[in-house]
Amino acid sequence: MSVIQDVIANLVEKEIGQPEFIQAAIEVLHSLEPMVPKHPEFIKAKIYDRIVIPDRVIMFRVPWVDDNGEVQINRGFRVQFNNAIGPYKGGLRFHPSVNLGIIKFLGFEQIFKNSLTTLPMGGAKGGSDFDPKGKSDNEVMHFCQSFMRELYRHIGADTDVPAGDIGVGAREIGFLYGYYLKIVNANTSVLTGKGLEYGGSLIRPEATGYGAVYFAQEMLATRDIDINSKTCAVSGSGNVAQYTIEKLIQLGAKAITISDSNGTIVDEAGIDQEKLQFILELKNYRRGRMSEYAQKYKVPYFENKGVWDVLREQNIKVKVAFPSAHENEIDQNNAQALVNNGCYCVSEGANMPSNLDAVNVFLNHNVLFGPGKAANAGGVAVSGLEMAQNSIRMTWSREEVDQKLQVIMKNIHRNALEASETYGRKGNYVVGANIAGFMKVAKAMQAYGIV
Amino acid sequence: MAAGMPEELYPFKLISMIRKRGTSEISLDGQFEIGGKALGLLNAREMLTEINSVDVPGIDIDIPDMVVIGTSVFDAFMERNPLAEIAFSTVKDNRIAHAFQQATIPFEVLGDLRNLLEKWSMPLAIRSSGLLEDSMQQPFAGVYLTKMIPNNAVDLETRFQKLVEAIKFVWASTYFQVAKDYCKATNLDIHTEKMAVIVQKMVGKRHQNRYYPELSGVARSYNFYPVKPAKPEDGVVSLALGLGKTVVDGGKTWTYSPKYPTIPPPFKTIQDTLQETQNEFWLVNMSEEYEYNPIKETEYMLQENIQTAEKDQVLEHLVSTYDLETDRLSMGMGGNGPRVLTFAPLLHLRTIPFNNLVNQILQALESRLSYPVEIEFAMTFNPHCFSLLQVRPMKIPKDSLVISEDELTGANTLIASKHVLGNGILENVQDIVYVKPDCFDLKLTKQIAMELENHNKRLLAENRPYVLIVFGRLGTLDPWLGIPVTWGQICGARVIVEATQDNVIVELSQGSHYFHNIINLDVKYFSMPYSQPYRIDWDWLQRQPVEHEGVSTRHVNLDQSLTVKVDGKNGWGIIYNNELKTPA
Repeated sequence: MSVIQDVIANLVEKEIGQPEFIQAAIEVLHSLEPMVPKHPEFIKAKIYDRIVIPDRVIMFRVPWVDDNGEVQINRGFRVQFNNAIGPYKGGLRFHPSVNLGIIKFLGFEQIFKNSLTTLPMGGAKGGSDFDPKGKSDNEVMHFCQSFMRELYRHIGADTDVPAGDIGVGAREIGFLYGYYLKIVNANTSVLTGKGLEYGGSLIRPEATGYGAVYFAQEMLATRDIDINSKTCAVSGSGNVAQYTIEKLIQLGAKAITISDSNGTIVDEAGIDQEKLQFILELKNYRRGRMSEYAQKYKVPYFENKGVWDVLREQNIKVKVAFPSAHENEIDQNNAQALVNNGCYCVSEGANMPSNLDAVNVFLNHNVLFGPGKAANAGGVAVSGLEMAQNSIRMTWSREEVDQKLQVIMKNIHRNALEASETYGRKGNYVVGANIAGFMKVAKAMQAYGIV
Repeated sequence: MAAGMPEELYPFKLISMIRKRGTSEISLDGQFEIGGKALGLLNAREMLTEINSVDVPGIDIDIPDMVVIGTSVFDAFMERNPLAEIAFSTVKDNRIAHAFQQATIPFEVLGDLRNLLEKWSMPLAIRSSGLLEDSMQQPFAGVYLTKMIPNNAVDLETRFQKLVEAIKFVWASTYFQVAKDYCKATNLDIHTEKMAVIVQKMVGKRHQNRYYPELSGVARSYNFYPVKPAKPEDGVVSLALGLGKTVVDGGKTWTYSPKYPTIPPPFKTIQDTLQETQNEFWLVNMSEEYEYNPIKETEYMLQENIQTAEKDQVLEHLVSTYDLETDRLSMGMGGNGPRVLTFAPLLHLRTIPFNNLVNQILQALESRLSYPVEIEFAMTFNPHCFSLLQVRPMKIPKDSLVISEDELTGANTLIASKHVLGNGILENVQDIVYVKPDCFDLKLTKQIAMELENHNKRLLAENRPYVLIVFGRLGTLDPWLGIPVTWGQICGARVIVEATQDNVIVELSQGSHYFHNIINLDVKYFSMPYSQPYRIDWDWLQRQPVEHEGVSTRHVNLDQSLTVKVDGKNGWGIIYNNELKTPA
């Protein structure tokens, strides 16, 4: 049995009742198989065995009083998984589903996501089984304060810097940080996702969309292709899609599609700055439907169809695709149609928008395929940049943050590409991203000796 | 000339075919022919005097001026025009409406109507007020139609014509398919229905060519779909900007319990809040440009975006502002950004004691009428004026709907639970789609979502309502907790059962992911937490004839309909299988 199989067998035996964590660990460990024979030193140091066990698990009770004066009790968690390359960093999730297994699963994945950004951030995750849905602002505040009354002693700018996740948005971050400030009396970068007035970073809404375009630019550069003037397809119409299109316009590319849950528009003349302004107004302010775009600019509208179905059915040719709507939006047929119509680059703005069959089609046809964990790392990267700004007591301009984001995306690309080359899968960014994320952490762990 | 009520003796004027015989007699006659809604408002007018204005300072409370066209006029209209045959036929609604437009209104009332319009040149709401609504204490909400008319043409003749068209349209709606279906479902005889019509001054303000109230809503003193911590008897309020059509039609509204006004609807994220809150509103089109169509309910109505309301400067008490940079909502209009109709200034900041007033009115009406009530209202601000538009009885669980502990565990029970949303009996469901218990695995929930979508598409196309039985938290974002379906993937289900078993012990959603759709479509929602003793009779279910088999799901078509019974008062529900007779 291989060392990876041994680790998995041990996990299954020991981590009873944590199916999510076991599943995630198995997936990551399997993706590392190509590199195992080349690194006997990791086997010797039992890196694979050690990396699946958190540095520490903190569990605590969170008592609070609801609006009716009733005492409520929730469970709080912080799993500090690995700080080999930087302070623990990872979101807090407030959701009734939260349990130790889920937090461990998320914390484990976070190690590699953070490592891949090339920024000094370790992996962690935390949260509570508290459900903010349907709670008054007062109740959410009381809960957050009680949560922080215990958490504060385990976090710090150089120790552990939580962020938001499901159920923890700007409101909750504000309550958590306000209470930390009150009890510790130290204005340090102990949380990210803060409001702009108290330490937050610019470019956060834009980061994922911009990052996906930068990643595509880097992939194309490996084949000496400039994104300028290339016809691109973008799906979705949320933040990611909007800012993907904005960056494409800035770089001279031509985005021809955008969609919402009601349908897709195809504007073969390209979405220019004026049209993008209309989209921003339509989706962010009016909260209207994309069909209004079709009416205004007299372009085809395909009701109840997604971008990739429309491209396939209408045989529309695009060179670069930015799936930015939701999971599993590209299936095998759509992927094949993209390839047949000359698409040579896919950069995932959403999380896992291409299903497994679709990914295989791209890889088998030598399409430059940027998986979400690498291509949409812009959001995590800006969290890192927020920490950096807080540490140096500076606030960077939009241009500065954008420039640093671009550098980070270049680095992510380079590391993933190099890893794919080193381990015999050149140009396979899926393998490259997994291995690159792992390697940095593993090497640091090895350097520290047995600790 | 028809008999009119002296205004000083009777709060509403009545236009009737019954000759004047003295004031008191006419009053009695009048009550007899004004229909359920008008009578409800009559009762409410007396109740309003009991509202303690000290508790609701700064708000004027009224019932808009109105004139009731009595059922005697309707009777004469039906007798003198050959309408009975088409009215009771099964032809399409628009043909009935056309026939009514061709008919002639009794000449005796024309003078009264002209006189009315000489005094009233503001927009009017022409509403139904059927006798069955009163005598049977049935709500008839959304069954008969209302027509809004701008009533602002320069010449009286045009305004008169539009009023007459609107009255005939409301009368015609007595015989539309939805009314026939409703009567059938509630065992009422549509032949006995007589329709009075309320002509009511419309609440609102004019902004260029737009006329609308700033706030409209429906409040109920009883709620069959309470969201924790609210209980059914805590009631529910739905609020909207603009005309109440948004609320009545089941559009996007802000729904809350008047006992817990600061607790928002159970939206998952800020983005959900942006998506699920109202962004378009109805108004009356005061311009001369409209599409002439007297048989269209919305002939003089338009929908506008919330941005138009911002230009009209009517959002002060109604909105929060979304900050794109920080992904946060702030109450009021202090910042720049999209406005979101959360009604936070009213409900959180209490800029006006609106919720106190709603609570007082619901309590006063319920105690006066001795049953749960539903009210429809509209408000204008600066000065603040609350207008009560309708008062309706609520259909409450009858004795026969009380489910006993024995029934929950009876031998003929397919599914039972003490955590059920909705109310009433459903007997037309013959299809069940279920997730197979033996091969359910949380790893597979995404594939299961696709299978459910396929079942739903097929059953919808064939117009077959079904019971959906799933494991875990339906509609969750997290596939490790349950099946991550959107509402569109399961929208044909009329009964949803969220179950648990040994490998799915999670907190159930209890409908919170789709609460809006569930309420509007009256979906019965069964939650079966692991901690309760009731289980699904899988053995029986697995013996039923399979119509479609998926990898993880199965669609069975039963020989007979199921009986679904929900006791909304206690939140208990039961589904009887088709093999054993349902207990009486």
